Amino acid sequence: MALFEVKNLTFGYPLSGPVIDGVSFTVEQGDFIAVCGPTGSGKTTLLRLLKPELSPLGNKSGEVLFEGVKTEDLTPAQSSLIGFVGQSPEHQIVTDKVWHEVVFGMENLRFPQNLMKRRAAEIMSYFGIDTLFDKNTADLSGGQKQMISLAGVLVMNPKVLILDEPTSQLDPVSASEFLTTLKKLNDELGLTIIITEHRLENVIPLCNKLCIVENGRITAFGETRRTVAEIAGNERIAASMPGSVRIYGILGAKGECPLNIAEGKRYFSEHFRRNSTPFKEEKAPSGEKAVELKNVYFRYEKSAPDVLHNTSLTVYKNEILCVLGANGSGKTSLLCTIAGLTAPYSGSVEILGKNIRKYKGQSLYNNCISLLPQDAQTVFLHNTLEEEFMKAGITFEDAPYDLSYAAKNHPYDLSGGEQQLAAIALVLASKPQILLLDEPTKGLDSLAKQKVRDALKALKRQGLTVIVVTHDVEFAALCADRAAMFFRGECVCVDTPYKFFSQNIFYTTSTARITSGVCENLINPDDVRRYAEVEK
Amino acid sequence: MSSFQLFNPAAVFIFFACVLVSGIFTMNPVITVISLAGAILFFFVLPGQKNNRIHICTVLMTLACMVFNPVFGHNGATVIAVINNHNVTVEAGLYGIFLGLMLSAAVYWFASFSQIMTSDKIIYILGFLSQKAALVLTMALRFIPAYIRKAKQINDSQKALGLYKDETIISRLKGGARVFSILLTYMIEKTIITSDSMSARGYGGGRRRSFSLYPFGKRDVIFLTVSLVFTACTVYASSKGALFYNFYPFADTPATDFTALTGYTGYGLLCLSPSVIEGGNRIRWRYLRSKISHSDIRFPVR
Repeated sequence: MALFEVKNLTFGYPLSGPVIDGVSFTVEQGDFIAVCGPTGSGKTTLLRLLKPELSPLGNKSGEVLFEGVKTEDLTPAQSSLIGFVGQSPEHQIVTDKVWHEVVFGMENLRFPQNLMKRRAAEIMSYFGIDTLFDKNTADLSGGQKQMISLAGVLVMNPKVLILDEPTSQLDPVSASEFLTTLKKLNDELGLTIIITEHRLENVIPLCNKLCIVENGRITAFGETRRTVAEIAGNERIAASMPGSVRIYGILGAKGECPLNIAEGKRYFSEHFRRNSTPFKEEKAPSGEKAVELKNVYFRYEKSAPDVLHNTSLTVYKNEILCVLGANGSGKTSLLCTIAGLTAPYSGSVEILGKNIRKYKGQSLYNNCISLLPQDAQTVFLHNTLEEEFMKAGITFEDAPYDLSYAAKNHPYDLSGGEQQLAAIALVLASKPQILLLDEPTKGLDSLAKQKVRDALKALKRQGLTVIVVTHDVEFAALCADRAAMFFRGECVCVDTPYKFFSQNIFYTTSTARITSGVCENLINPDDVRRYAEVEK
Repeated sequence: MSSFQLFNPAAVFIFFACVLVSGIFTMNPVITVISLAGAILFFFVLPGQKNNRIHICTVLMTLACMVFNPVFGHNGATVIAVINNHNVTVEAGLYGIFLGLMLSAAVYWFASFSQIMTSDKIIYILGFLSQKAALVLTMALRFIPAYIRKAKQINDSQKALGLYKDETIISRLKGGARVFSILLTYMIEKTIITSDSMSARGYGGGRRRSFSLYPFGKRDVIFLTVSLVFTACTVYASSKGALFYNFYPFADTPATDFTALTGYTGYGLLCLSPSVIEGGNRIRWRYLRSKISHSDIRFPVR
């Protein structure tokens, strides 16, 4: 018997058209299904309809059967066999101690004491996170928090695990660690997994089935390799596919579709014939300096280690500089230092040729510098976007992109990408010459990332200097004039993107990894498209 | 680690309740002195970080009580001075000292209490009264600091946005109000996620069973029984009126009959017991360690 059977499911929120439109599919025991599709296509709604406690209210027809029982008729004990993990590591944790979070679900289901203890011990040992048992949940990193949320669901011994973009708020290292854990659960315990994810790069090599949702309909569903090959021509979806799949599409989609870097490398060396030698003569930015840091040292507390350690960095006017690096390498502290929110204990910071200390009062923030923090929501203050724009003294025409369609919406109701764009527009209200962005693509799908990229390029054309701190190498490869790498509070290298990404071996784009050794200087799929000879 | 931390929190809680309640309600200077001595001894015996400012605090408190009680209370027969037509009496001073010592004892006991009883343990105790209250407390311990951090983030982003026009108090107040209002929206928004996460794990299905990290073992039974027996001695003496003590008009000589001595001894042993447990444990450890270091068993060295 299939684990889930969804029959002709249609769902619409009150006062809106159908969000899910006549969907049917089955989930077999042991499946690892990735659900993907553009933002707003109904992925989240679809997943929530599978878990009775989280099913949204609205007009529903058709049925969802879990082990042959309608989800509405499941008892709490049966429903606990459907585990659910959401996307926010910060807010889905309920209690203040890790151990309490892990046993929370078992407490609700009135498990016996010794069983609770045993399960908690098992799961913490299995994940190798036993040292966290006594910790406060507030002291954990985002990746650890998601791991604890996962552990708190697994202790109830679910048959199926549903995850709604679980890694969207994590950095790439924690994200792939998390996904690897899911794969391990699938392989070693036979746990059925249904996941939505926009980092298809990581998830496609892991899943055995792929489900494509567009406008509330399932447009493709089936075995991963076959489904991926099926949609290689669909531009909207293909843009979010892993590098190997995109290169497969670009090189004519012949033969078996490569799903990971190793397969991609093989495919590339067999099928790539170049039409000319890619050689990018890049002009390194020069000229007037917008920001100059000289031997800057910063730490949060006297006894704490340096967060910025002998950092020197020059940013020229009218360039887009992307700062890359691992968690805790000091990237965010760099932005805060440039924005004057934290003061270094040694070294100098010059903004537009003037020492930052000479900017009195709020003058640094008027027509000079603006910082958009990682959580774009912290910028919003009012109940509608219209009010937000009006109070900031700007109009929808001022923004380099159109947002007027969302004027009456509450800023919190916008999608992640729209929030980011709206926040950038608001940040621009003080007419800054230097714009600082912290992780602007966090949690965004490929379409939204493209919009942010276009926006940054438009701002550059208007004469702004943009400094972006990001984990997203693909994003940096596409929009940076220069990329810098941070490590242990120090700027290790700054280079133009083609030099930076084709010389890096580990910390580089998937295209560069696939193409290196066969053809140099290809760092994103568009380069491949440009220099490949496609046999018609 | 303190061996006291190994006891079940409920036993520890009952012990402290016995010490404080019987110490305060007997209103007897001998009991108070015993309590203070026991408290100070335990404060030093208990391992862990010590805040030594506590001594200055208790001494000042006692002095303040000694000075201010005669100023405001004018009972007592032995007048030593008359200020503004008010008698300043020796008895009132003695009563002030007594009050100061009683408060100091409570301060020392609480210092040890808060060191032993971490938030988990308080929540465990609260769970006996109300499971919901315990859950609310643990959630508050999680979310209040989180929201304070969030407020700081919002404030920083407002600052870097240039929303603070100048550095006047009015501008700051306006900024504070803005941050508060958006923080409320943020909280309401995020609470939905939290409640989803709770119901996804079966919350709301009626009574829960609290997971406890704290077994109630033989040592807890013994500790609790002994504490209750000692407390019973004090309560017995007190109920017989043997511990009754008058400060006014003349300060009594403390009673020394058999019943009173039973009360003093019981209370004394009660106050001494934590230090004995803690100290005994230390000695045992030292003994064990010396045995370990002298044993012939060696771990294989590669």
